[in-house]
Amino acid sequence: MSKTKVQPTKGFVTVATKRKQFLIGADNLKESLLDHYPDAKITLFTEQYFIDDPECHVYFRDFDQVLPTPSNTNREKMWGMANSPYDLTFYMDADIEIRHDDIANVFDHLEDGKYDMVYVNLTKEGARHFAEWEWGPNLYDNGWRGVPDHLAHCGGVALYDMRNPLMKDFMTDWYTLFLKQRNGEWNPPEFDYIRKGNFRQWDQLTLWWLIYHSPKYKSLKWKFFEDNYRWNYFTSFQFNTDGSHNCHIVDPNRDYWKTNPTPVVVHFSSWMDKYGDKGFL
Amino acid sequence: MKKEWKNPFWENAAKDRLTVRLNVTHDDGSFSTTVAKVSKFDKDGNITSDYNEVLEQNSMEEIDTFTEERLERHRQQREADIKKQQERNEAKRLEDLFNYKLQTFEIPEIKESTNRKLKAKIRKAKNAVEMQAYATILLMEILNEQNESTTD
Repeated sequence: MSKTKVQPTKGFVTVATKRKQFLIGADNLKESLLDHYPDAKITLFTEQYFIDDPECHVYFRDFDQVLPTPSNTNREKMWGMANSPYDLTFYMDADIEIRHDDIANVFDHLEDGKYDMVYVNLTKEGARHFAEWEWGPNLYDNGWRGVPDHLAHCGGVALYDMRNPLMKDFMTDWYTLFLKQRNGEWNPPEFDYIRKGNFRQWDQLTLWWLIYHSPKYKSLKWKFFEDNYRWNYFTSFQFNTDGSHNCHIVDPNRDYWKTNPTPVVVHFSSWMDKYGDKGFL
Repeated sequence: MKKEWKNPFWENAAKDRLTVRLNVTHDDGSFSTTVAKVSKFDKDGNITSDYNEVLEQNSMEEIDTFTEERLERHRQQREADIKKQQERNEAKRLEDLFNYKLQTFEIPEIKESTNRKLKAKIRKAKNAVEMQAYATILLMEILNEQNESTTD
């Protein structure tokens, strides 16, 4: 009898809570994903309030699953990540749009179990686009091999392998610890070194701690995408009038943009009005 | 008192007016620096002593070089500023287009439509005109279908 290797399930996860704008965004993300990858399995995590509202059901069409979140904080995304129904999962924020067929190959970046997680690296050259980035001199992009003094991992997208049982714990801890961190109930000694800014407001700081300081997750293998910002091109990086992008400016130490410059994921993080003050979005 | 005239450049094509950094070391040892305007001629048409001092410390060739380098630096800066503004405008245009698209998808008939092909064309539209054109085609199709079903 021949043994057949069980293929992992693959799918996408997004989360929309608090405001209908996020639901509209998640619907658009799903549609754009299906434009480029018609067979994609996509799960939406949203709050029960929206699930119970018949007017919202039009946004749920073509999702593989629509699942409720336990609460409606603006960081239910980590709960959604922890509860992905897929082995190999690519999480994306709801204010993202897919622009390239390479989305169908995203799971290849896990290299068939070689890595547990893959992230986008927030580069030194891109730092001015982020609200807060560094608190000390040790920078990953300067070749620093220890714990960097900055938020190196972007939380807007995350590719991970749930077949490693630690992954669910990791994402669950990210969720619970961040909520405690934001409320001032969790303040590990490693945070004492951060003497500037208001970094405790960011879930990326919790991610930084889990990756670099948590003994439990030392065994998790992670990397950055080789074609880094193709997987999370922030609109604040700007677009040139000839249609080209600025990966060469915000990511000069990688060379993917010489041969493969088109972003797969465009993140409308700058101008999308998440709080409804500017009108529609 | 010691006067040093540094980095002079011509202000005009006639080369009779200079801008120059003036560093002064005073007799009491204190130091001051300022940007000075130096004219070649005084009101009676005589060459000024300041101008002569500048020329004693800086050759004509050096002044011409400073002037050209400064002009080139400013030209590059202007070009970079214009390019940056164009990029900013383009990013803003695409952000606005994204918002318009999501508004278009909120039109009830379009929201309910399952015409994936046309909805993808709306999503991938490069500008507002193209987007509106595809939205109109989709709405026309929906209205035609509604009319046909009413006629039936």
